[in-house]
Amino acid sequence: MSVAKDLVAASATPLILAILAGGDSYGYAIIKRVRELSGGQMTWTDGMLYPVLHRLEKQGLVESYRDAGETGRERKYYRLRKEGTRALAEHRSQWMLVHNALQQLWETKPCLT
Amino acid sequence: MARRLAGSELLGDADVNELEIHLREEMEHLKTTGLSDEETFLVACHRLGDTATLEQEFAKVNPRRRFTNRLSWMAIGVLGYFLVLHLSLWATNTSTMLGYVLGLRTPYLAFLACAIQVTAFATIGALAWWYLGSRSVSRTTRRMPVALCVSLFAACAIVALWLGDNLLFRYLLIETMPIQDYSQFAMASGWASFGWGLLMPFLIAGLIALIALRDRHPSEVQ
Repeated sequence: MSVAKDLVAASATPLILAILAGGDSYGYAIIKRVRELSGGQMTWTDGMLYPVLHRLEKQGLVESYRDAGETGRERKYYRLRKEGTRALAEHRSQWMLVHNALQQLWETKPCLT
Repeated sequence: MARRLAGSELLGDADVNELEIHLREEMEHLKTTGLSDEETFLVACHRLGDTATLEQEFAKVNPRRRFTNRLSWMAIGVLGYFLVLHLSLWATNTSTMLGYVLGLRTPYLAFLACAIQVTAFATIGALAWWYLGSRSVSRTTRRMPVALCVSLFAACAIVALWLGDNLLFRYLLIETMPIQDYSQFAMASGWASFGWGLLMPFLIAGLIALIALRDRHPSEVQ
C-alpha cells in the first residue's frame, strides 16, 4: 500500500521537524529515516525534500550549517530552532486530534443493516 | 542531469551542490545492492525527480531569483548592444581616419568604412557564436553573479569607448581636418551606419536562434 500524495505532502513538515527534534540531520539521512519509519510505504520524490527544507529555513523553523560527516564529505546539515520546536508541538496536537477522531470512528463497529 | 540543474536560473549553486551530494550518496547506497554504475545512476536520478518539477518547487521557495536573473540578462542585452555599437563605430572611425591619412578619398573611403563594419560584425558574431556554442563553457556561467560582472564590464567598456571615440577622435583629428574633407568623412560614416542597420537584425536573430536551440536540447549528462 502506498500513501496518497496529498497525505505525503501534508505530513512532510511534521515529519521533518520530528526527525530534526531527534538531532541534526541532512537531506539524504532524513529521506532514509522516513523510508525506515514507514517501512518503505511512504516514498518521497527525493529532490522535493530540499525545497521543503529551504522553506522551513526561510520560515525560521530550522537553520542550516555545513559540516563534514564521518565520511569526510561536506554536507548541509539542518538543525531545529526554538520556533521549530513550537511549530512541531502545534503540528503534533493537530495530527493527534485528527488521529483520535479517526480512531474513534474506526473503533466503532460498523452497522451492516 | 546535474548539468541541466546547474544551468537552471531557478537554482542557486548551493541548491545544485546539495542535490549533487544527495545523488552521489544515493548512488553509493545503490551500488551495495549489486547494481551496475549505469543502473545506480538511472535509479538515483529517477528517485531525485524530474528536473522540471524540481525547478518549479525551488522557484516557489525563491520567487525573486527568476525575476532578478531575467532582469540581469535584459541589462546585459542592452549593454551588449551599446558595447557592440561603440566598438564598431570606434573601429570604423579610427580605420577610416587612417585611410584618409594614407590618401584614400570617397568612394574608396566609404568602401573601407563598410568593409570595417562588416569585419567588425563578423568578428563579434563569430566570437559570440564560439562562446555560446563552446562545450567548455559551463552553463553555470549563465548565472546571476557572472551576469552582473559582465554587465559591469560592459558598462565600463562603453564609457571608455565613448570617451575615446568622442574626446580623442573628434577633438584631435577632426579639428585638424579641412571642412571639405570632413564632408567626405561624414559620407563614409553614413555608409557605415547603413551597413550597421542592415546587418544588426540578422546578428541579433542569429544569436537568439542559437540560444533557443541550445536551451531546447539541454545536455543530460553525468
